[in-house]
Amino acid sequence: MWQLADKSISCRLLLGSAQYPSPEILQQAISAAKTEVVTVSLRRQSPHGDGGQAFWDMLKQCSVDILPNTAGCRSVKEAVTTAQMAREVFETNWIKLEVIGDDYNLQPDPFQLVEATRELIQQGFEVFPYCTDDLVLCQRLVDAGCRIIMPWGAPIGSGKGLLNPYQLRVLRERLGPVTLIVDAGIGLPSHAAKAMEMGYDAVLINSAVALAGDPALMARAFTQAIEAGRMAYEAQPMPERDIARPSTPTIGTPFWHHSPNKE
Amino acid sequence: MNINLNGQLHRCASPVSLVEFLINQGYDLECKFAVAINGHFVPKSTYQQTQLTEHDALEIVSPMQGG
Repeated sequence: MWQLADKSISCRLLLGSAQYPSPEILQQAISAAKTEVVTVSLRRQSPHGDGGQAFWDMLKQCSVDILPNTAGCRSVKEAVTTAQMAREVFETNWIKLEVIGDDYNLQPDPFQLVEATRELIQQGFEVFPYCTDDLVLCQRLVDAGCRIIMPWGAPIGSGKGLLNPYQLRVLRERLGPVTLIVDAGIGLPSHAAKAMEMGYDAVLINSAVALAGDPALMARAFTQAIEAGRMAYEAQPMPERDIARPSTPTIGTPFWHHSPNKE
Repeated sequence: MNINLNGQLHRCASPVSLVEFLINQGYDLECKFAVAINGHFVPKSTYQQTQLTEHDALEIVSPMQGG
């Protein structure tokens, strides 16, 4: 078990709910991953549509915790209002805070992110900020009261993996007991395992599962890779060396290894 | 009175409360949705006493899939 905000949960994979071929396949992926936290969003509702009610009813059957996001927001005001609406709709004070600063790579706007974080924490939200891997930005978010920080591995939906492992390692070393979750850019289970081996607490994945040929199977692959990575971190990996050292003991090596001329 | 609902112009009688407007538009108050007027969140508990005014912009949102 591990601690995510005020909840104790088992699975270290947080799963996005978008882009699946069908609601049934999303359900299968949630079940295969054994995930306990699923991200959701809000959209404009027309009076005669079902208003997302069917989606909401389906999620309730999955018995997962809901992490709403502020996807699409580009200002503090938009993000704060969206978070307030999400709190009422989803009945949770958790919010995955996204304030996008650039349309090309969907990079978060660090300045507005910190401002929105301060405002939302003051209003009683548990803020999960989607941020870049900049150390000073992450420290400011922690200073603002974040217990959880979610740096990107690569731009959203790119599947490129961990583009700056050095920086992610620095965050782990410098941010002490803060819960760290790699949020975006992961494409393969091996990327997730690498983040976990660094000591990250969890990984949030959407596209890599939803866009796989078999999303449920990929969800299971991610859960296993994340478990393996976490176990490796807890097992304390050996230090890396630049030169070879024999793994077989050399004491007592048979004589012919010492002879320059075997004939 | 003109009201902008999710980016579309709607004409309605004046005065009108938010709750009357929602019902007239066909929203089921039991369903999951949230409202913002002119960029400000309006809690469900205040729908009854919230009066709409000319050119108010309403955003009404409901759950959807998200990453």
